[in-house]
Amino acid sequence: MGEAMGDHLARLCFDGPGSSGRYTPHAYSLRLRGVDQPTDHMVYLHEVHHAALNDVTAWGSALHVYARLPGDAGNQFGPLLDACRLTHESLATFASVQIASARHGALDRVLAAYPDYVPLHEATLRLTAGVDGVTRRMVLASALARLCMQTPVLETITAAEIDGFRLASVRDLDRPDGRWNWFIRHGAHPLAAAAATADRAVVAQFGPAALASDGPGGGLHESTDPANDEGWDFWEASAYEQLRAALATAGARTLGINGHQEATATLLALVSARHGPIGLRAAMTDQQRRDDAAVASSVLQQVRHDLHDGDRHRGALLPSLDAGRLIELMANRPVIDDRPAMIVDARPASRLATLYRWPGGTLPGQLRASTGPVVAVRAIVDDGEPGMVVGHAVVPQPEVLGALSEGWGGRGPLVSCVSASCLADAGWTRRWLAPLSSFGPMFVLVDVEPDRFVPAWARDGRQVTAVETTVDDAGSQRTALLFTAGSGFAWWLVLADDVTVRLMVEYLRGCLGSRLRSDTELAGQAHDAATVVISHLLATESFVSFDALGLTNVD
Amino acid sequence: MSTDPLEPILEEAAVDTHLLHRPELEAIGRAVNEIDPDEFIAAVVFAPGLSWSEDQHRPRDYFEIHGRHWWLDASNPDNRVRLVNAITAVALVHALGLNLSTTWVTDVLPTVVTVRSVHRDDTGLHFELRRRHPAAPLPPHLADTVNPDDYAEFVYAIEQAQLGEPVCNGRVTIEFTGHDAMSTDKI
Repeated sequence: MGEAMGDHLARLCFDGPGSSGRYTPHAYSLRLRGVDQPTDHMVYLHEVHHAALNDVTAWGSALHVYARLPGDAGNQFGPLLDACRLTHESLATFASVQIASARHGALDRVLAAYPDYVPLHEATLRLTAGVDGVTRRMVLASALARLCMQTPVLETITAAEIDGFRLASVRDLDRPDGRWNWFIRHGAHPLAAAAATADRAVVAQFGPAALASDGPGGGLHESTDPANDEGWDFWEASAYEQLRAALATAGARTLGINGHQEATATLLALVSARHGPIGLRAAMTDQQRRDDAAVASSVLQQVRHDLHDGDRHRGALLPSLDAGRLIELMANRPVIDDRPAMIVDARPASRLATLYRWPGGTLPGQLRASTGPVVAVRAIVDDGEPGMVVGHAVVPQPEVLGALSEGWGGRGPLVSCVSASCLADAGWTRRWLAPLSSFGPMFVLVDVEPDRFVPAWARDGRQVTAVETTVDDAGSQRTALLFTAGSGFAWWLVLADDVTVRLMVEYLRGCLGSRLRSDTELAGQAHDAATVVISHLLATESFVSFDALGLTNVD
Repeated sequence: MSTDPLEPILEEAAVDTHLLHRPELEAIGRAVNEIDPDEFIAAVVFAPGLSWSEDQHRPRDYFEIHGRHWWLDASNPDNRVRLVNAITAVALVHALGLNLSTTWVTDVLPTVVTVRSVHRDDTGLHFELRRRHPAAPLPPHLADTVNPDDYAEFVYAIEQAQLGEPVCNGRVTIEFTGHDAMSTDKI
């Protein structure tokens, strides 16, 4: 994480209510305070809309490509980004406020904490002022943003053979913000006319039901019922075409609402030939966009939750300790009910490298040289520098676990926390999984896409039991989901916020159907162990994301 | 610029400070155009003298939601020039009905137009402009970002404006009063 990003986060913590997000074409990071749910929801939805807009437009495809090109070839990312900031931020702000308001009521107070975004929201409100219905206004803003981003930029990039592309090749009215400003200058009328045209088209094609859901008494939740999806997609496409015709009168070169797809494929083929695979996710199809599980999976692939203020925790490798010294180290550190706990963590070395800031900027050689995931006991240590350090005392052999368990006795809970990414290493799993299971309750921290393990459960017909729980973390609300498959060896754990947990439940339900059963609480020992491991992760894990093994649907 | 054109604009906007934060820039933008000051503000925030609280810098590589604390010191001569160019760009875009962004026009304005003077009276602000003749070629520092066809179109639009015939838009009047010989010293 660079200096600029550190500064940025420091400023965020100082400025507003604290919750913050940032999006790049690679992923989005969230630092949700868990203090004010409307704020957290608005921030989350804001970043989701950045991702969604890039994923369905030509300018977004260009950003995705240049963000991943190596070396000088990627230099045009900055100019491309600067040319669409207004469009992106306007849609993300407007849509996030509209959706979060549908659940929480007016969000003026929440948005006021992000003062630079208030004018963007107000400008978009003025643009859509001639349109009735919250759903119409939101879909129309989406259509407008898509139109602004659907420019012939990909053909221009391909013609310039990628490296030769400069923003100067694109006319101002064929740049997203040039278009957005054009509509701002023309006021509410073009959008009101587009909405009226779309209304007539939908009624003619589908009848009045979808539109009625956006009337008085209807709300965003009712309008966005899956039964109305097709109607609203048609409404958006109709409004888009009307706006497109208006913009074309000014000389803009426009594309159809999905007119970027062929040019994207052509450009990706050229990029692949020049630079090899660049790790780009496959775009969602229209069918996937209407599938809640697929949408949930797409969001989960890109989200990262920062659990720690500012930059990541500092990490340190502790000297090798035998079982007796490890017990001594942990015995006087109360974790729950004034009792200590012995928690053994397992993470791949590559994951440890990204989870912590290590001395000298690199993972210690001993960890780098590990032939499989690193098993360690964590302890907060003081190295004389400001801020805490998460020390890692390596457990070198599975046999040490038995000695630890025996020596620990009844001092407190014994728990293991293995990240799901460890389980991809079959050799390590054969050697370590049984001893770790015997050590105490085992939790599998989900740090990979659910696409990597849930479909197999579905194929095997396994019954999955899930429990959602909220955790108070020093005044912040965190949400966790624990689930286990059949007579599974462990509880799988998602630790994040309520939106991510809901998305994970949507995904599980989409894959498992009636084989997913929800329980209200964990019983006995599992409850205590879950409390211990969640507290432990909140204190020592820098972030949670689902990309520890990379993504499955990339080139 | 032969006379200081910024002071009348600040007076029209009822801004009595040279440390310009967002509210002051909104007021200045609204003094020139009533529709929306954001496009004007976007053109201004790239000014060379833009200052940030706590020495923060504008992150450039990701979308984000956060508060940006910046201000523009209008006592800095370069900032004054940039500010006047941005204000003139707003006035031109609306008065001539250009399909170009304020930021874009702000960048190319000095190669095409000289702001001779600005004065205010009861009817609003009056901009006296001169065409640079012939218009300068596109400066090298804009070659990577300014489309040549857009530039040619802008130069043509300016050349079509009639000398001595004021164009009114709200409380702003623009009048081209002649030509300046091409010079690059203010570009």
